[in-house]
Amino acid sequence: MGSLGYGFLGGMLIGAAALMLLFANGRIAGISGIVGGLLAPPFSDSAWRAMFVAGLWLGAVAFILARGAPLALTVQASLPVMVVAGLLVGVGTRMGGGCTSGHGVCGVARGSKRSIVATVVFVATAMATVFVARHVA
Amino acid sequence: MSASAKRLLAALAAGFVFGLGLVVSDMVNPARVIGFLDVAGKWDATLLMVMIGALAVSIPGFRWILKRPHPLCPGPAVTALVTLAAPFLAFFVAMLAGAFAYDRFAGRKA
Repeated sequence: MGSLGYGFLGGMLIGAAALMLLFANGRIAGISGIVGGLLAPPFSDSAWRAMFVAGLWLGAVAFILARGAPLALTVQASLPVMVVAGLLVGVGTRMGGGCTSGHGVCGVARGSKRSIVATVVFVATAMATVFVARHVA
Repeated sequence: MSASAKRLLAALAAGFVFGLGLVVSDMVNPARVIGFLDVAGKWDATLLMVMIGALAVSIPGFRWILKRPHPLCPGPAVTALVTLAAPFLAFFVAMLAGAFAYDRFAGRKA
């Protein structure tokens, strides 16, 4: 199975995870919100948020162990660029009220116009940014 | 197990499946994401497939879960299950299965 097939399969797992969290906890699987609630005041509902994040890591570890190989991740940006990017993502996801999972997967599934707009805008902006960074600059 | 412990376990399980999805799809790899965003370069459609896969599950799933009649909300439902014996648990599961089947095959498709 090529990367497209694994992408589709992984996507279905992400969709299933969102359903699991909604069904059992009545919560939206928006990572920026889950982590944000964990690391910023008023620190409400920390327990389930911590469990979810722990689950993320366990899922990754399980995959690494099953495959018997570390993850092959390629980062092309320098450390300062990563810091700036991180700041922008932090500000942007708070301002926008969600991220790829919250808006792109859950919000769109709910038919939220705000989420559809957010998703279209951040995808388009990211594409434009990569275009400028790779083909213009 | 208490209802709150069940919910914590459910959050862990949901996170596990989510994390697994992220690594299986290679979305955790920045190069894979940039490949999708680089429309002028060698375009990589993987991220698009991830979104399609996720929405294929979440769109019908969300519609089903959010349309369930109250008070079948997670909190009270889970709490009530804890106090019931095995025959009632079976009844509850069968009730959910019946509701799902009706919505899926006989209910309005809106």
